[in-house]
Amino acid sequence: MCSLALFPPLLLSGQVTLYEANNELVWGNLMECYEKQHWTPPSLHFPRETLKPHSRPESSSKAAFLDHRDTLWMRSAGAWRDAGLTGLLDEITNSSEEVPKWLTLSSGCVLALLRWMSSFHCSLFPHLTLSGEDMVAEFSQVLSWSDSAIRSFAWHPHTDKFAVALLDDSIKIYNSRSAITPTLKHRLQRSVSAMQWKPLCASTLAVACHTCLLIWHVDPNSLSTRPSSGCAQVLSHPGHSPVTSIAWSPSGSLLVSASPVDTSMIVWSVAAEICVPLQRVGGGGVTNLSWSPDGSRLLAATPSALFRVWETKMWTCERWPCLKGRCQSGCWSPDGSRLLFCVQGETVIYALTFSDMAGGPKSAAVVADLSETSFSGPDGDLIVGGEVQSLAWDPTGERLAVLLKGNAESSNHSAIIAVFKTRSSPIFELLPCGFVKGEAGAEPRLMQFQPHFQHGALLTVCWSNGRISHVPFYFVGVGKPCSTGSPPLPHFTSKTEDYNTHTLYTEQMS
Amino acid sequence: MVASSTVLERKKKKMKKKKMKKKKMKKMKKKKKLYHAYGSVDVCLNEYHLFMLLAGAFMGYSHSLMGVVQNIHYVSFHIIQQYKYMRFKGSAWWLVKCSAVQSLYSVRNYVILYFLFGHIPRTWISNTLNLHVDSSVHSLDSFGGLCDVSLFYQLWISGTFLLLTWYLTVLLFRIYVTEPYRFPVQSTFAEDAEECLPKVLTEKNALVMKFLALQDLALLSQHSPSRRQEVFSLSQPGGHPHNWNAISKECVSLLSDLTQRLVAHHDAVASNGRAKPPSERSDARSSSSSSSVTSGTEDLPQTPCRSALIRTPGSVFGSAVRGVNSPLTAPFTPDPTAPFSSPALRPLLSPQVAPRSWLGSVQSPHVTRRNPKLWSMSTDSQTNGSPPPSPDPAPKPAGEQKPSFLSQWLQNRKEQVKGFVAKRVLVVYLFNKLPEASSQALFADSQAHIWALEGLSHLVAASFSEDKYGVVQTTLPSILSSMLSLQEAVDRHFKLPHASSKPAKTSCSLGDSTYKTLRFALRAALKTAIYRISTTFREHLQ
Repeated sequence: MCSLALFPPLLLSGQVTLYEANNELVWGNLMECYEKQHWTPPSLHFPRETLKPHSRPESSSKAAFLDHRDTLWMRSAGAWRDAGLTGLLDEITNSSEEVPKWLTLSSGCVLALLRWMSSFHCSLFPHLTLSGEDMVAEFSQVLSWSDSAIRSFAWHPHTDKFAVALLDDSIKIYNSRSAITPTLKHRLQRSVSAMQWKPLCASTLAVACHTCLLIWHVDPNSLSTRPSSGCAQVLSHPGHSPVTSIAWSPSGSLLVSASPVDTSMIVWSVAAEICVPLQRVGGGGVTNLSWSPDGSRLLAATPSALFRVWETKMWTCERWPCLKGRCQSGCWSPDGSRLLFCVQGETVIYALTFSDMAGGPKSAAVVADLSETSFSGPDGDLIVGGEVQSLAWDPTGERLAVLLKGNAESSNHSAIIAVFKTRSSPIFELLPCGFVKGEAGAEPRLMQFQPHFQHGALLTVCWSNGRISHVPFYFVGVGKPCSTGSPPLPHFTSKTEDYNTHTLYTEQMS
Repeated sequence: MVASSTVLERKKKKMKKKKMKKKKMKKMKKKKKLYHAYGSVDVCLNEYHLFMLLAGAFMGYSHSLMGVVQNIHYVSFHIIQQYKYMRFKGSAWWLVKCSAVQSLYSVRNYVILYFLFGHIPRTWISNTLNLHVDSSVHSLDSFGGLCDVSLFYQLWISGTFLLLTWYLTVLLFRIYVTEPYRFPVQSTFAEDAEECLPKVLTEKNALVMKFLALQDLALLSQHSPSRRQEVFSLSQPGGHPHNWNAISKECVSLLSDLTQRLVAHHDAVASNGRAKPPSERSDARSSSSSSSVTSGTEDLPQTPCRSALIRTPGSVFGSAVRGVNSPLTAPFTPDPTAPFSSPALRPLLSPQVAPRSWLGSVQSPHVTRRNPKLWSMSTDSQTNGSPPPSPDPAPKPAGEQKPSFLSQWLQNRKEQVKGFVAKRVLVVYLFNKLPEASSQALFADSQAHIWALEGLSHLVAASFSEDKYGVVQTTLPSILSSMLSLQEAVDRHFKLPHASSKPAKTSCSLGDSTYKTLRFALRAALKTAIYRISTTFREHLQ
């Protein structure tokens, strides 16, 4: 069962995906982009060259100073402050001419023992050997996070407003109703890995940074373009860095943060700055969090081949050991009853169906097979498929976007976004929709659906060349009647389609 | 042995609740009695034993002192619901770490203290009991005597166990008392009606019941559709939405109550966030704010407890007093009955603070007349512990009918001294309330308001699709207006200088500082509640 072979083929390389109307994707040149789309939020362009990544002062400036020998006491204190116990032991072991021999020997032994234990620990959880930045890049939902100009993107859940985190550790906020774009910078805002706006609130943005969580309170009525760092609330917990994922509860009262280093995920009551760590040792950390839209369940992926689904009433969890690799990404259906997830090393999408009655699912079902398929085009074969980087389900539950990793070495196998049509009632169905492709040479890095697009779904894609584009999918949702308040769309004729010929997955199959 | 047993007798009075500690101490009594050279069985003072006993007493005292300072008696509700075992497991390791660190600190303090003053109890005991001091052993308050690693280790380890036991009690108490309880929304039998949620919500005597009911309301509004259905249901004969009416009325009255309190506080403070100086205050009191203030305070729903609590200036250990009167109401709201005095500072500064607190300061004669007992008690207990020049007007004894000339004169002199002292900056700084303390105290019981807001807003949001009879719509305007007026009051309050300053974090202590940030939590919950209702109803609200 190869799902991608049933997709409509890719077109010429010069064209980009503009929008979906009448059940098919419309392609065009970049120039005519703006005439054909009906409404767009600002399309932005952040060239990679204009952004200066943060340079580490402690590693770069050390060479500029002369070496100076302190006393042993001073050096030991410094080593203790900088690197803790191992640093202190290392310092004592290395300065053998100043300390008695037994001290050197014993500290050397303790150091060796410590190293052996830590290597044993790291062999259990190999991700612990990564440095902070590498770890964020490894577990981020963004494709090749470390050299991406856009580090993170977040739509506001209620208004036409979004935040973009850039490579230079600044965050810009774009609002449809004002020309002011506030730029958020903070001393602790390093290597932003995730952002999320607080639901049921106008102005609160949570940012997962290298060492801490920052909660920005950006007044939408303020005319300031550089909110001071006094607007940011710093939440940190010892041992809880780097933070790679955050999730607000849909009711807006709690925030959960996760770090691959920390085996506990932390539930914050943000305003009161109270935290409750929820510790489960298995898995060695928590990489990715996703809260179901109805607020009843929370997906927590770990760096090992294991993920957990927490229920949020009494905060108990179900363990789901995966077979092959760690859970890379997951997304929830709008009613919170179905979870789609993908596993590293496998080219399939799994589904779990939860219901309040039956006490939970027994096993995951494969709903889509994304193994590599080649499409013949005018300029050679194009290979599409492979592992999944991230999944996104639009808030109406009608479109599912899958960001496929591709292969960096080969030129005709690039990363691409495949979009599925989904139906959840009466039975769960998956149908092909098409591919979303950008300009030549641009890879999709990050995607997100706008939470409240009126005419269907709006997918925002951040590309590797620093461009942010918005691809609308115009359709009339099944559950909701045609909204009367919104202006009717031009040339939106309903076209009957034959679902049955192309259905990729229905629940009856399994 | 005689010596040690008498010492034990003496110490028994000091150490109130530490029976098990004594057992441990006995175990540690390894040092044997020393026999004098003359052959007759002569008894010597075993200083190690004395050292250990005093250490136990010191740790007990320092623990109770720290408990008062850090508000250990304050119990906060958890932000998420967990099973009891999980909660215990989650904090057990931290508890061990905390008690080890605390024990280390108190051992250090004790050793310093013993080094300086250790000779006093030793000579006293050896003199009164006619015991010899063995000169062949180092005495423990010298450097040589204190350089004993095993002694320190014993001290530290026993202190750790001691603290761990006490902390465990506190932890288990907290876990059990804050466990969510499920009240039935309505019952089919009339005799159970007292245990139903709408009845318990209006509970005034046991605040813990009210808190648990509010917690249950917040939980049911979020998690259980079937119980929400019961709330929206109509009564069987008559078809009145009694459940919803009772619940919404109670919640709205809670909110409007807080609004009134905030408005009253805002009227009472000067623009710099401190209480107005006495002269201004008296003017204000006499003219306008007296009525508003007294109405604001007299309408408090906590009146039952208010009479129970003695707002005595001398009640240093407020928790003890409260523990006697209303054992279960006290812990949740650090100081439910005196909303304008900080729970943290009250114990420390209480002789000055309690009457100086803004509420106390408006004890104008007619208020005093209303509670004459309250103040007659306070006058005799006022003397203990407070330095004579207290910087505030002394509460007038109510029973005093006609003061003689001499006492009048004395009274005047006293007032003059106090007025003089009150103007000195340092004294004011030391004995005045911190400005943010009043803000903390205003929001001391805000957990109830947070739950009321959450419960109401979730119920209203759910009513959009679940309320078949439209019972919520009739009360929606009053709910919205009370929330908005509270929002206005809270916004005004946060404009005050010290209201929005965040408290510093405390590191390793069992004391719960949640009450310091409750006002921020309330602000966030209020905003979220308003947004929740408005996003659910959207265009229907217009």
